[in-house]
Amino acid sequence: MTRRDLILLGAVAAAILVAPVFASGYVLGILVTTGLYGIATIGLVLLVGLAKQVSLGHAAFYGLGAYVSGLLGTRLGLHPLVTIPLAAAAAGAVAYLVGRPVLRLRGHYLAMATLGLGVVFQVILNEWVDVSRGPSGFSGIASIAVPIPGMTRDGRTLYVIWAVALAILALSLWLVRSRAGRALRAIGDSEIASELLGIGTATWKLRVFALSAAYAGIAGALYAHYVTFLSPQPFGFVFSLELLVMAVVGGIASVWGGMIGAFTIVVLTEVLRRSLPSSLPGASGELELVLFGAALIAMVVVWPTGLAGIAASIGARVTPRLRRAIRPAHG
Amino acid sequence: MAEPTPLAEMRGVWREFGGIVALRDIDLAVAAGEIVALIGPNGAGKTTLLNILSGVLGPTRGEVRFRGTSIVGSAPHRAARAGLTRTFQQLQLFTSLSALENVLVACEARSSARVDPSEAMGYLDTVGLHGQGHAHADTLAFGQRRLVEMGRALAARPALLLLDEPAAGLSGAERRALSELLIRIRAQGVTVLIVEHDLELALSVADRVVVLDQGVKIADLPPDAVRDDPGVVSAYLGTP
Repeated sequence: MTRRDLILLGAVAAAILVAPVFASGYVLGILVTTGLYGIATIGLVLLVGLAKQVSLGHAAFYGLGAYVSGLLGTRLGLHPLVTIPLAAAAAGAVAYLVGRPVLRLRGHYLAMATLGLGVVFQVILNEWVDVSRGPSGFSGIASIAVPIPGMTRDGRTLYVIWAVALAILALSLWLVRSRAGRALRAIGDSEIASELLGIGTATWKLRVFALSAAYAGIAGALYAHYVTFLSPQPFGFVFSLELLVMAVVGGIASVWGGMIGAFTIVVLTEVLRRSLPSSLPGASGELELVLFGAALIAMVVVWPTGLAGIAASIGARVTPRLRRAIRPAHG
Repeated sequence: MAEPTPLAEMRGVWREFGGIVALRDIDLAVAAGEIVALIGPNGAGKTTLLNILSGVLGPTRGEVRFRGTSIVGSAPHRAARAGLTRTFQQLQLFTSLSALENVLVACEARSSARVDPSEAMGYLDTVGLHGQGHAHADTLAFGQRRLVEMGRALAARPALLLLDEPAAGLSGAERRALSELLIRIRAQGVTVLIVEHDLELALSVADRVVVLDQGVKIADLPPDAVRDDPGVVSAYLGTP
């Protein structure tokens, strides 16, 4: 983690801390959703950006985390502090089982396997009614809002979700600069060369996939305790694609990009939802999907380093000028 | 007296791609401490042989051993951890890492202890890239990129180093530096198998020359006998 990362983390923490004082419930909702999606997207950044392995089924890990935490809470009365780590572990374990046979192979087999996993997960949620309560879902999930007198529930939930999001951000920023991060980037650049240096590429890919799924599991579990109601509908393929779009738009190789991408897409979705019915009457949810697809293609073609890359290149141009302006040249 | 176990050996190795036979019944043994040059015309099967010997590709038939243990069917990193590494004809640099990090990854792969970046820097110095560590691997000139790959391979501290055309794309000065480097590497006890088109370079550093033609090993000679071997002349060198 660099000094710049620490300053940014502090700035984000401060912004979140004061947000409930200034922001409306609507804005707080956007920030909560950004935190949730950001956690899952950062997991994708590690998987796709570093190890260059694509998951098309991250919605399933998010949904699995949500259902595990929600069901353990409502059925067994366990506290979220217990069920959220269990949700993360469950998502990580499923990823491990799915990834183990697939990640020994070189190529894009993980994308296919996770696409299949997403479909199977939807079928299970809809059909295994005894456990999942089927398509109609279930409610009564405990809220995770911290008790602060005089603050709205949105504000109190925001604190919890962003405490986790900031911890995940910090952990991931450290990870990418660690020895593990170097090994993963090496694998992403050349699996063969990594193997020939003695790096067990299959093991590393499996580890980062399980970690990435665990992130999604945590985000899903937090989501369950935020909305307190679950049904299978939000955890389909479209959401998996949305998470990928967030990662690519933000900058697939940047941890900060994961959060920036989540924020951008959450805001854009809100703008579309508000403006589309008036400008394009009759347009349905499918249009959103088309727009996401278009954003994904445009970003990959025009600016593959994403918004974080754009920000970094602007920063690189502006910083020296700022320094010169602050510290005038001698003589 | 029994022959000592070779560091690496291939016995009766065949490799077919579809209907094409790339390697035909190859026997090859590399003893510890020697530099073996592998030469032959384009398409002779040199890179295929290197791929099989490094475990990147499995043989269709036959046995491949490193330090007496079969490597057929096992992941290449196992042989690598036992001391076998290689470079590639088509460079396989870690382009999202700096030159120094490329080498650092190799140091870290062989030891779980903390690696001091100065150790990695040392390998860059060895290959003549002093002070270039922080350059991004894909911003370096082609010859320098080859040297980064070489430094990275050395950082793995191999017992056997397979080099696939290390001089391709290098300038005359860089080639001379490379041949000096190879001799220094051998002095450190590293065994080298080198595939090289630059015959002068190959013959100047090698203890032994293996010649492949159309997937068949046609000669295994000391370097000073290569130019006079009629089979090698007709298949590869041509008559002057």
